[in-house]
Amino acid sequence: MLCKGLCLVAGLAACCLNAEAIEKQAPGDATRGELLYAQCRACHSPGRNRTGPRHCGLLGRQVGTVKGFDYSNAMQQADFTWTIQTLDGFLSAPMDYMPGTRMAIAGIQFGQDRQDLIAYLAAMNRLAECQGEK
Amino acid sequence: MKIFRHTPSRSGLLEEMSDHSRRLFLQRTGVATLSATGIALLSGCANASYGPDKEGKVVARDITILNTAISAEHEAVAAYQAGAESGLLQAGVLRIALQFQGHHKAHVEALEKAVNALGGSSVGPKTDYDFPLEKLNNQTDVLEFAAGLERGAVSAYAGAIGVFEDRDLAKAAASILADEAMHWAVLRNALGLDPVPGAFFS
Repeated sequence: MLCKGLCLVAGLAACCLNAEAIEKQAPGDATRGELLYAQCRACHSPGRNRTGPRHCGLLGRQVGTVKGFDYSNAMQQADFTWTIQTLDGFLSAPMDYMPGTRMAIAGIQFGQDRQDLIAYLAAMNRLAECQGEK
Repeated sequence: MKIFRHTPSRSGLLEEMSDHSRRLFLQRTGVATLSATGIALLSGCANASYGPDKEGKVVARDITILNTAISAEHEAVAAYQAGAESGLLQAGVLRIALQFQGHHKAHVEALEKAVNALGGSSVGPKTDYDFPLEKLNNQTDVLEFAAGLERGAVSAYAGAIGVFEDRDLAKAAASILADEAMHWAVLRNALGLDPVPGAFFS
């Protein structure tokens, strides 16, 4: 947990620098990803915690660290950062990638769909409701 | 980790019915006629669908899926309440909004029964929901907000159906999905949009 806390602090410090770099690295089509994000809106929104945590600042964030969100034990105990690679793995089959997660969907089957969605998540920080997100 | 043992309680008429006769009953009545009780009934049949070697693990997984659905349904109930209390809805629209809210309450009740029948504990509503109330300035805003939630709910159930280990629970989820899709279509129609925008949903 201490490690997670330290990572969180380090992550916050690097957040603004990382966000733009991560967005450039995301190979997908963010415009198409925005359309795909409609599926995520069942439980998520960019700037508000709902059944799932908010998504502003997702890429580059330590797993399970959104303030005020009640995570599953699996998410709380996970010790990695959301990157293009880890998100791709998680989104392909969330309940297999992280047993115990409450993200109860089969997963996004097609790699291109995942890449486009991740590109949108990376670009999301430019939304007005994400401004000021740490 | 808590180990869930599948020991659903069976009472009344259900005790008189064998698994086979219950399945015949369900086949004859069809998924479209499932009620809240029907979904709980389906969960009472769940044991037949679980393999003996992995029962605890997969039942726990189904409980997780059900609880995620319950969380989203609680949110929908609260959202319709917020819309109803906004003072922005005309009488006819308010009546429909409350009807839809009643459906979501029924979904919660049915899903809770299913969780309980599987030996789990269902999640309750949040004490506070972070809705974008500051953006709701007229009836159209409220309808768009509700339509977005219903569209999301269809996605959620569509995503969950494939991961239920118990196929009877998947059928029950499909029944709820159909209800949410009808809500979405009605709300889109009220907004002047094509109520059924395509042959497929994604």
